[in-house]
Amino acid sequence: MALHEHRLAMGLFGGVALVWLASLGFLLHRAALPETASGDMLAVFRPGTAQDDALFALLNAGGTPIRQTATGFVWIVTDSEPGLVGRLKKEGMVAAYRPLPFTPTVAGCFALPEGVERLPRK
Amino acid sequence: MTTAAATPSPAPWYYAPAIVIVSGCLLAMVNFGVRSTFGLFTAPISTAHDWPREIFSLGMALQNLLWGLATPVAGALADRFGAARVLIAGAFFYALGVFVMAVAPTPLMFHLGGGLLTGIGIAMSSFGIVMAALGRLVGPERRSWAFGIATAASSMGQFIFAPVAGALIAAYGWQVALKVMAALSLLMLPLALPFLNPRANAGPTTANEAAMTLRQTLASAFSHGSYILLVFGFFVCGFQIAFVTVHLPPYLAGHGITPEFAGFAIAFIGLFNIIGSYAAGIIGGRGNKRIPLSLIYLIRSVVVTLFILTPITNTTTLLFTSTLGLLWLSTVPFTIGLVAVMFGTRYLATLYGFVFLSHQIGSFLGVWLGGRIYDATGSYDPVWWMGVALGIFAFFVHLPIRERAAPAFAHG
Repeated sequence: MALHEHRLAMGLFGGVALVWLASLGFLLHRAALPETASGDMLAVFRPGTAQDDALFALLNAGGTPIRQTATGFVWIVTDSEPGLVGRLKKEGMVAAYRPLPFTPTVAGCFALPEGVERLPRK
Repeated sequence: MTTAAATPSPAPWYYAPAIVIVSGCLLAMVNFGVRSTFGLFTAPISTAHDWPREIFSLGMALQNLLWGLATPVAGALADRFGAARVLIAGAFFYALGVFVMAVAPTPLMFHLGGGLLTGIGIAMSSFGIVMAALGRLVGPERRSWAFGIATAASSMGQFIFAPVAGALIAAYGWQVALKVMAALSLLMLPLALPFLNPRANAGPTTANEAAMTLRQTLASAFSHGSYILLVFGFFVCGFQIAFVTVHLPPYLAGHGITPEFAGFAIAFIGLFNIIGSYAAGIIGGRGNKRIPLSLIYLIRSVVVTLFILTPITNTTTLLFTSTLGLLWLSTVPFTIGLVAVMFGTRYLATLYGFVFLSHQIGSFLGVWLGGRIYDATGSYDPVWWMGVALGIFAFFVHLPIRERAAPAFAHG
């Protein structure tokens, strides 16, 4: 297999990955909640933020932490008082989103008939 | 007196093999990618219309059914009328179907758009047609690589489209997100143009291959033991992949893995799948396809056995999903490569279409039995073991395949 073929593959996949990251960045920026928003939300802190620091930030902002996600720096938090996002940002949160339907989908040849979250659980 | 010599007009720039290959990969990426997002729309569409989940589920079930049934037909049309025309028609159906999903006010309209039109559109713009055309375009020495890169591109499509659709739903709502998906499907129209390249539609054939009609080729294929074995083997691939795709998340949840970590682990399947598919194309190009294909099924069985016999932890889950990712669609370059070895490339889209139909039947059973047996026994274990047994069956089924031209296609 000539090097030319591998270069073509790397160029293709690398180029697509760059366009994807840019598109996703733009869309995540657009999807971020305004500072006045409240209710259930994903609170995103900087990667590497200590668990205690994030927890204190959530509590100081008047939010009720529901749980920490597997990524560690993303928490699910809620509050009914308006302006939770603004208060969280003052405590160091980067951005907040409504729970995103980011169900990962793998390449198979069968489209999921339902969201996996709806499937029966043991 | 001089007469101007008739010089053939130069081929368009987009007929260059590299452009055709890149276009084919992008097309496969969009084809796989857009449909991979449909699960994300289940809740928003059902809630917006106050429909029971059954309406959406039936639409998707119809889509999968029509996709499987239409694939051999679409392949035959591509082999007869050229890949570009079928891909363009497929892109149109696909985009229209997704658009109708976005605006359908009634279940019937939704089933027409999301089921019928989208299912046919997926089949007519499927990577099987792209790969058959690429197989004709490039010589036998690069054919397996071309199959590998197209499969890897399809894998990447599913990996990258789902988060984009999720973010679109969050930013603009489900209806706009679906319309954007419809618009993205239209990208397949310009991407199909390079497939007008005559070499992608009528590559070099042997004399015997050229003399065979479609009917004769199908008769030859279905009386050829090695092709039948391949059809049976690909059924197993569909069964295993579809079962894991749909039932792994609830299985992990049942063993105490958080949904976020399960999602993270499943993303590993997608990521490693890109590597595995591309590597399979390279390995297949080095000669033997039968043995690596057999080994994939055997290793899948070993990996599943280890996974279900050891305690399920975050570490074992990641090891399982990354290994399974390497073995995920890596069967495809070997499988379509073997079809090309047996019957050449003239009717490759049709013949692969029938192999793929078997895969889809396996997919249906993997998903359905997974749910059915879980409901009956309260455990996924019987279906895991069924997958292990089928993997061993596929290992033995592929071993006797004769990796050479079928008798009617030899010595041409």
